[in-house]
Order: sequence, then structure tokens, then C-alpha cells
Amino acid sequence: MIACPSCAMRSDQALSFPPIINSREVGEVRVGDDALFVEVTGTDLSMVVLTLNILCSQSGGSWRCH
Amino acid sequence: MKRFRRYTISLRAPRIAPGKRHPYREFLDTVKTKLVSMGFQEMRGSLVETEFWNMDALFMPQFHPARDIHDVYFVKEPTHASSIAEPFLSRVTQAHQNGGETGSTGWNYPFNAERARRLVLRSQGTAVSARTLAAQPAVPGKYFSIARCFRYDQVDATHATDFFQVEGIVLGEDINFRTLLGLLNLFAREVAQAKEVKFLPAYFPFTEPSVELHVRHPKLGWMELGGAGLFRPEVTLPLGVTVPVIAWGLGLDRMAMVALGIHDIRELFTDNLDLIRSTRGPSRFHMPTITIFKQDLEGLLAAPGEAPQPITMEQLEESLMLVKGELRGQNPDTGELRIELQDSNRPDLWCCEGIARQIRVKRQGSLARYNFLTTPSKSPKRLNVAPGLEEIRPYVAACTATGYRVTQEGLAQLIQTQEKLAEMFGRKRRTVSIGLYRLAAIEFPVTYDLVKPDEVTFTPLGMDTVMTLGEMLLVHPKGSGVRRDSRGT
Repeated sequence: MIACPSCAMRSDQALSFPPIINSREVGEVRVGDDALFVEVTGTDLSMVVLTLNILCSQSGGSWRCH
Repeated sequence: MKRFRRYTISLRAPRIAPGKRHPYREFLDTVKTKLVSMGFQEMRGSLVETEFWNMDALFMPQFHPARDIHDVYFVKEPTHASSIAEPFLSRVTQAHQNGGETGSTGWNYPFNAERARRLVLRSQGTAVSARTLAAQPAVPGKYFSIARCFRYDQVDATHATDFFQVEGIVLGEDINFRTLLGLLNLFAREVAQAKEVKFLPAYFPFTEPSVELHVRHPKLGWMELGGAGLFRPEVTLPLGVTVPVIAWGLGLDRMAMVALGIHDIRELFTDNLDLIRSTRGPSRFHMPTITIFKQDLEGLLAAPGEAPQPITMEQLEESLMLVKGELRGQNPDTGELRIELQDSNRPDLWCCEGIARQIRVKRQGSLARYNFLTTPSKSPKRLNVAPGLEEIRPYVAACTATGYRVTQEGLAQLIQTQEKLAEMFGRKRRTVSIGLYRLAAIEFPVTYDLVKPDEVTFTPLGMDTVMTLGEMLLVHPKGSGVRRDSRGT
């Protein structure tokens, strides 16, 4: 249908097809989770880094991000 | 010497109502824009239609009760069209009488060609689709129409005698019922902005299998938005189409009621200026508007180890000026605050944390330190990047985040931040897109990879079915947007 190849984020299963949509089965964040994996992809390095930083300062800064 | 009268600057100035479009008109335009951005082409048709295109071509038998004078408006003058185009008339006649070439046994009655020419006011948008199918549409192809339809009905809060339907067809070799359910779900959530959706099995003369789409209106309860299904071969073959076609006809007026928060269908066409002025149009994404909770903000503003101090509305409005924010609405019972942020250069302010941070910085006069910004990562977890991505989407950054247990409220906030950042800062995910996952579900190393459209499948967030990337690109609004972009650049 679409000939061009596209990006996928995968571990043992596909996690997401950036920039279209993320998976629901693998690792949908739920209430009670206390450890997350965050990925940001994009076409502009500074925007990608800034976005990750903004996300990391969520939860009132109580997150430890590595 | 001139003496001035005393004046009070705290008095509210009179409200000026600027010109604006009718909220319903705006809603219709939004729907149109959305469908076009999903790659649909618009079909147009006439309000006066022959019974042939309105019903016969859709395999509705001429004795069908819905073709009765009690349901359809017949045109007084002229009463009949002069002719019906061939080969459609003979093929449809055959389909009704004995199935013709369609493999069906038909309805087994003598088809009345005179009746087929009878003029009626279009009673369903599907008439427009029937005409499109007969006009050799593109395969694969996606078409939509916003069609005004007329049916005799008792007028009440959810019924009117004339109404808009959003009618659509998708043709293609790989089209199936699953694709249809995905699309309907999408319409309900994206267009009608419905939170709860359900599908019920249904019967229509022109589709098999068929389904009804129901959504929950906040005040009126469950209501049917419309029907959909795969066109029967008795419909497609006589019109010269050999690939599967999914079709739907949804009541736009009812969608508008949910989306605009209107409780009576008659209000859609109101000329009451006060009502029109106070009805907010469908949400547009000019400036980010976020929802936060007052108690969250108070908690975030408190110094470490101190109890949160309640903030008054005056303090809040004053603080919001620091973030170029404007209070758009609030619910005193839940503490909910809707804030429009008018600085598109500061995506870091588009969440409760960001607003609180800005206010703290102002109060303390100094910046707080965030360790992850300054110390290099020592994480043993690896993210591998496949070669070739530098051509397509070259940058990736990732981290693990621990030490905070996600609450119901926290999750909603997190998703809100993710959406706003990706939609507005990331130009609808083109320049930046974000994935958040439960860490325990991830096997490291994670690979950022190149794949072919049909190589990998999963259930996309917000949907119920497993899809390939190709299928997602077809039905998902985010997918279609991307496809259009990649063509454009």
C-alpha cells in the first residue's frame, strides 16, 4: 500500500511507528506504574532533546531520569 | 479649571461581541478539513434525486417500507426524471428481479422502471456514494460527502426533518470490516469528540455485514450516530465496481450536538444571537489550552517540606500572567482550571509543572537544578539505531524515568503534555514525536529500526484491532496526516 519504508521502535515486539502511533499492547502506561521508558524521535536535534527534558520535568520533578 | 468625574478602574468594561461564524457552520468546516486531511475526496450530489439513485441502486426493494410516502418527501412538480442512465438501469433491474450477475437471488418481484424515475428529496447520503461508484471512482480511493438529507419525522430533541449526513466510502482490494470499525471509532472520537463508543450489529438492505455506531451524549445518553457496512455485491457489481467498498452514513447533527455541547437538535440552527455568541465553536489548535487542577498547582508551588497554601483566584490570575496564560474556564467543585497559553515559544510551560516552575522561579529569583540535564547518563540500557534512519528521521533521545508512581490524575496530565508537545511543538509529530511505555514491558536493547509497511503489526493506542503499518496509514488520522506530509516534501 505504502511503498516507502518507515521507522519502528522495537524491542522484542514493535513499540511504535514514529511518528504515527504507539502500540497499545506493549507497555501502555497505566495508573500505578513507577518506572517508565520515554523515547522521542524527530527531525531536529535540539527540539528532540528539549522535548525529552520537558517530559522529564513532569511529576513535579520527582522523577529520576537516566 | 476642568473637573473630572471620579472613576473606578476595577469595573468590568461592556462586553464586545465580535463577528463570528455560526458554530454549526464552523463544525461542518472542521469535519470537512479533517476528512480532506485524511486523504478523502469530496463528492457532491443534488438535493433532488431519482428513486433510482436514492434507493434502487442501493438494493432497497421498491416495496421497502422506508420508501413510503410517510418517510420520503416526493417532489410535486416535476414528478419524474426523463430517463435513467444505462447500463445501470438494466443491471439494477436484474439485481432486484433475480440477482442478475451478482450471484444473489434478488428480491423476486417485477421491477418498476417508472417508479425508478420518480423524483424525491434525497433521503440518505448514500445516494451520493451510489452515483460516485457508477462514475468509475479511483481504486484504492476514499470519498466523502456532507449531504443534506430529508425524511419525514416527528421533530424532537434528537430528530429533525432535514439533517446533514457525513457519508463516506473507501474502495480497495484490502478493505475489510476491521478497517471500517477502525474508521468509525475514529470519527466518533475525533469528530464527535465522544468519550464512549459502542458498535451494535445492524441490518441495512445495501450492506452486509452491517453495524450501527452509538455514542454517549453527556446529557441525552446513548444515541445512534448512524450505520455502516460493506456494500453488498448487489450494489457494487451493477455499478461496475469489483473491489470491496466500505460505506457509512453518520448523522452530523448529532455529532455536532456532542461536540458543541448542545442538548437539542433544534438549537443547531438557532438565530438566537446570545446563544450563538456563547456557544464555543469546535476546538481549533491555535494556542494550546491545557486542563490542570488547582490543588496540583498549589502542591507544586509549596516549598519542600511545607504544606501547600491555597491560592486565591486573584493570585492565580496574577501568576498566570507570568506564563502568558489566560484562565478560560474553571470548575470550583473539582478544582479544574482550563488555561490557554499564549506563548507558542515556550512549550515547557504547557503543563502544570511548567507553570509552577515559572512561578517558583519568579518567587525565588533563581533557577532550580535538574540533574538529568547536567550529568551524563550511566545507564547500561541501550538504544540501537539502524542505519538508514538519518535519511528519514535522524534523531532519537530516550531515557528511563523512575521514582514516581503514576496516579490517575498524573497519567491524564502526562498524556496531555505528550499530546500538546507532539501536536503543537512537534508540528503534528512531524518534527517531534513521543512514546511513553511501562519500563517493565520493554526488553533492552531497544532498536530504532527501518521497516516495510506490512512487516510489523500491533494494536495502535486507542483502537481495538491488530493492524499492519500499512493499514494504520490508511485509517489512522495521524497516519494519513503523515502520508500527506511525506508526499508534500
